[in-house]
Amino acid sequence: MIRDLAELLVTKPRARGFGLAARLTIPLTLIVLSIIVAVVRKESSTIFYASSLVFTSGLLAYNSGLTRLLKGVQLILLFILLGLFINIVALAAGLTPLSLEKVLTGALRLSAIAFAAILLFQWVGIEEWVYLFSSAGAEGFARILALSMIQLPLTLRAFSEALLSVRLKYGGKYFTRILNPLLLHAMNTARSASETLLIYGPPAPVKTRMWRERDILLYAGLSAIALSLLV
Amino acid sequence: MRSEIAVQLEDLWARYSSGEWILKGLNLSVSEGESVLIVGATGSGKTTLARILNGTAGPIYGVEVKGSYKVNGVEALGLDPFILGLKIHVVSQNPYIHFLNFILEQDYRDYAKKVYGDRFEKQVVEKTLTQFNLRELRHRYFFNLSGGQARRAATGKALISDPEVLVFDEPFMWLDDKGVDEFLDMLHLLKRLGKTIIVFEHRFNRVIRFFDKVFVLRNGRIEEADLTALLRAAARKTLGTTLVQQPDKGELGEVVLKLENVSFGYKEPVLNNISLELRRGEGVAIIGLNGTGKTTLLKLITGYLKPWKGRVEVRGRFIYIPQLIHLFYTEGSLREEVVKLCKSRSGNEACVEEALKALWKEGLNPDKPPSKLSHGQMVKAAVLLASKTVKPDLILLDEPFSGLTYVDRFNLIKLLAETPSAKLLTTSSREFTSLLSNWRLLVLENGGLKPAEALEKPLNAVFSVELAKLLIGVED
Repeated sequence: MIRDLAELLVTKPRARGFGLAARLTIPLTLIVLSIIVAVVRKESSTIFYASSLVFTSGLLAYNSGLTRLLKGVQLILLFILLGLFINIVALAAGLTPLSLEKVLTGALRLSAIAFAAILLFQWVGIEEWVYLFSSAGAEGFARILALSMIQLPLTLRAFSEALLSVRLKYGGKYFTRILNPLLLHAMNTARSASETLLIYGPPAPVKTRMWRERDILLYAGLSAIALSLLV
Repeated sequence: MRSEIAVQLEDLWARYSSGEWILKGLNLSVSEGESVLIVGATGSGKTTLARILNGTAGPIYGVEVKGSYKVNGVEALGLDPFILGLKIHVVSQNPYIHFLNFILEQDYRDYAKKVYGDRFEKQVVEKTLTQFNLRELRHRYFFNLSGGQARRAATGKALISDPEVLVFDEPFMWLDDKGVDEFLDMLHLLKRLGKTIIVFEHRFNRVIRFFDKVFVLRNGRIEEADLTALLRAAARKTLGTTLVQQPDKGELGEVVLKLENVSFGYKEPVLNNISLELRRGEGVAIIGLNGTGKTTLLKLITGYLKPWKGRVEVRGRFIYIPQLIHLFYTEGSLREEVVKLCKSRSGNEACVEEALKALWKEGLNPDKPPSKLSHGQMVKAAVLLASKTVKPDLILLDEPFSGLTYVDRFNLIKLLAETPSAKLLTTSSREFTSLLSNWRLLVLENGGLKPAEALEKPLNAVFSVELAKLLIGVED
């Protein structure tokens, strides 16, 4: 599952079919809107979250294929379902004031945010991030970001190894101790990756087209999702 | 052979943040087109030297360097690592860190563009992909490459700038036997291309004859080894060695692991109808090339993966020692590891005492942080910690020999022989499997397990250990 998730967080060539502005704006707007709606709006926004989820799923499936998408998001959905299950059990036991509708909306919201975040990873390449941050005068941050993004798949794999090793080592106890080896691993990897940056030079900023005609479809989709909030 | 000096180190000193000097007036001269092997014990400074050679010791690790380091007669200390990389390129232990783009071809093109500009970028990349037989990997994600493929890909990338000198820091780390052969072929190719080659490696048995010279890094200095004399001395010592013995079949206990017709795969089937039974006290080594499903099999046993069909039954407690051994350790010192492990099985003071005694006996200071241990010590300590505290019914070891020196391998086999738990280890190399006496050797290929024979004679492995001891100056 972790391996599939790692593959899902990689930039996809099909992303270049859209302009950079749309590739940035669409997922970011969906994430921000989801958070704002959760904080500000009191009534349920199921249609908004559901339409956002359908929209991002369609785009992710276009990028990676449906099978890969489903395999990749298993882990995320597992966590969300687990949360949902705990809430429903608590609800049945009368331990929470949350209604079933709120619990379901919460799960939908988390999924919508997670899918939009994955879309952002797939749509904006490392060299484009470097371009964006360098243009804003934040070259240092651009390099750190590039390093973190390139090592993410390997870090996820290390996480799976540590998870297994620590769980068996302590017979299921002291689970939080997993953070220590992971931290050490991240530090070592970061230093090694810094070597790579110096030897091969940082990823060159790539200026890509900001606008493309077909972006209009994406903006239309986003507008429709946003309008659902008025329903 | 040409006689110009490619790399010259004169009176080189190096230390980390005002600590003790690791390199102490080191001198080394490597001629153009020459190939040299540098061996040294763990902690002798091989990696520090590699970092100096690629120019990152100062900027990344804060190493203070004194003396002279010249490449083709030009002073290289303080040079920008990118500029230095056009003359001398170091392929580090971990080949996966060489990439800055997920897709291999794109990564090569990005680098080629920086070196040659837009005009020749494509041409150079195509040539490199063909030369190193990488065409079929060009569209792959770097993190999905096997260890051998990643090493080949990292070497290919290093050659894009056409450096005159290539340095490999422990190139056999994570390589299976096939990968080692491929790497040797690559060394021959590089030699034909007239490259100067420097290799830091402690698993040298199969490659030692390739090199023009062998140097030993010891006490902060480098000296050339008299290989003929050392080979003779190692042969003499080998004849006087006693081989490690595992308990014979009569002493085996109850069944702790049973696999019945287990099948599993990801996109394609990986394991087909695997059956295996393991008893307490028994040792099983599964030999297989990279990507044959060894780690997958271990993950099925641990319950991390569920089989497509068949049954996995494990009785009692078991421990998994991962290939990335540092992920096993969670505490600030070995002593804290012992206390935590004893607590996890409600062990008392006696449990702690027994484990600490065992660590001291093996020369491991319990107050040392695990991160300060060498790779070999980490593997050894993990086995000791498990066997003396948790006393598991089964210990699973994923590629424990990878990255170990010959001496560390020998010591680990001895330690495992004394461990009463059932042991299941995977290895991608047949090297040293001959020393696993009374172990069941199985080979994993085409999704199935079948009995295997150790291809080398036990004395050959012992010879490697003795030669390593003499080379790097380890006492018995």
